[in-house]
Amino acid sequence: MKAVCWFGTRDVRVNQVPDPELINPHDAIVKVTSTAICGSDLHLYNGYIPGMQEGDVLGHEFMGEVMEVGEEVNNLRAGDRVVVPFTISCGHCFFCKHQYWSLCDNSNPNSGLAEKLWGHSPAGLFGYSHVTGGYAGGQAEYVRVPYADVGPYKIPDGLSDEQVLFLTDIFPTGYQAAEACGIQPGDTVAVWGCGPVGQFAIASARMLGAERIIAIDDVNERLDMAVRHGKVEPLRPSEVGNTLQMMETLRDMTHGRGPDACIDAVGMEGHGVGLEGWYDTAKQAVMLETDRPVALRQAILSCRKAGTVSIPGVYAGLADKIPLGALMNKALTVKTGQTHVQRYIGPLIKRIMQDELDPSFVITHRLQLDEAPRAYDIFNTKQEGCIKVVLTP
Amino acid sequence: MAVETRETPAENSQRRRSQQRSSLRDREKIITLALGTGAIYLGLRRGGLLGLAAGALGTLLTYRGLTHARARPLHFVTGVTIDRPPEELYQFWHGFTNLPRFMKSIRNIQPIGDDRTHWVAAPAGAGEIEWDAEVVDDIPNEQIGWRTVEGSDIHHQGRIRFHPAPAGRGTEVELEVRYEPVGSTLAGAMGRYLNTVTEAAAREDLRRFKRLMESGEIPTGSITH
Repeated sequence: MKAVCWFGTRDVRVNQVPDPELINPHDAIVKVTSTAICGSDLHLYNGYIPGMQEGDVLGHEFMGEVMEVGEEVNNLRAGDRVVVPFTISCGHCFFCKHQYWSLCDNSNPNSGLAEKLWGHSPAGLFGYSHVTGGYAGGQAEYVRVPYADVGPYKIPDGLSDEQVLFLTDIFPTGYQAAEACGIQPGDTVAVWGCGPVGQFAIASARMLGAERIIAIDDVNERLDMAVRHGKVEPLRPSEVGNTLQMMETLRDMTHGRGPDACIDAVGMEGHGVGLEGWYDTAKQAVMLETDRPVALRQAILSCRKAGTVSIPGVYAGLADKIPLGALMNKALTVKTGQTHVQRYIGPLIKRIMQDELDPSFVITHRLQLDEAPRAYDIFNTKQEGCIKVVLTP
Repeated sequence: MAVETRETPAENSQRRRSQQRSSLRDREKIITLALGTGAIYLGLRRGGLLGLAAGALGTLLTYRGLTHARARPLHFVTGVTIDRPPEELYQFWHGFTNLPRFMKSIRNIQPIGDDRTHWVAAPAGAGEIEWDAEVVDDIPNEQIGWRTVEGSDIHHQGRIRFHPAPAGRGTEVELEVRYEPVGSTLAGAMGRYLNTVTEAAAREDLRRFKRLMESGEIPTGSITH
């Protein structure tokens, strides 16, 4: 079959690889009908995530048709149309039982590697390095789906691929980030990053009753999309200035209070302005820090007292100059984590069916799987107005 | 030698430090041997009074290096929390025949009567090593102990305990293993086997045990085929 394979920094290729086969009794084989490139795939593309090997099959946002199931999978049969959460969960451990699906104790065969980095291991993920299991991803014609009795969700009739594809990751991810803010009537939410996760965080904050949403990004078409769909107040870091100036601007926009909740939908590859940007880029280059936490610093410094900082953006390792004094003295709450996708698919599919939101609004590019190398390039360099790419095998 | 007392966390970390120290001693040993043979070589080439002195020093260092080279005992305690009741985990361990399903270097375990089992280990690389073990300290639903019997090539003993975790959170499983020193040189399959017996490998086996008991299978990743 054809699959998108990682070969090194900014080197992905569409190669022929062997078809996947059932290995364990809870496996299923899914024929992919639609798959997407995630912003977090760009962290792999740019070589910032450890534990990648040449030839690794990428992709964790995919859906399709069940071809074959293992002997222990009783809830699915060949022909079922499913979306597959990017987090692999066993369904039986302490964490799965408590709905912390992305923290599954059992699904990451390489948890020893993850423990060396993070102390404990999160769930296994599709196509996201050997640190999270070394599972072949979904930017391919076929995928082996482990614990298929727990993850895949059967799609009700009448919904198109584009309406439900983003339930695999970015819609629940944005939703979880907004839900974590505990939005109260009258709240102002500030969102750093208007990529797809930022867009869904904005849309979700709107659904959950935010009064005002301030969106922070420097890419025109992303800011435009947020204004058009999320009715946000846009803010451009290049016009605002450095971290202190960002805090002052947000403080002034909220008459001294600061945003009640701040969402960092940027993560480890943030772009700082001036000295701060140089500082992180230099430290990252010589491996003194792995992450560039510009958005996180600004979120903590700007957030209202006793407010919430919610972090859906991906961080991988260590970061410097985090304003812990502000975090502590303002009694902030920090909420973060990979998304507990299985928790949200049901409720969100209802919202889609009730026409509260059509997630396909983020799609800017529809391409063939063969065009993946170009798709990664334009998504990474933000050319051609690229915000979200959907690939069809 | 019986496995008796449960280690406190302080003792556990002290033991870890002392094991790190002994691996430092290994390095010291190698350096001593290298310096010793080097000095003998120099002494032989140079000759004369200085050569004699170098040769003598070399001999002394080599002797020291060799006499300090012997296998050391291995002892570790490690654990995992499994979200299943103690009785179920105890039953799965009891009889030992299920263990090769999650113990990476154990190929086969067969009961041979009188609470005894025959173990076949297959260390990565080549060859098999075998031993017989007998059950000791068997407390139903709480713990199982075992030790190798007289005449085995390799002497070790182990004990697994199953303790209910607080508030119905499953079972705290604790594994304690002790290997006795086996002479001064470890060649062939036995040496390779002992190299695979580490605390990290045991923890990995326990993790696979947890996965099997909680989720019904041991997950397999496969990015590249």
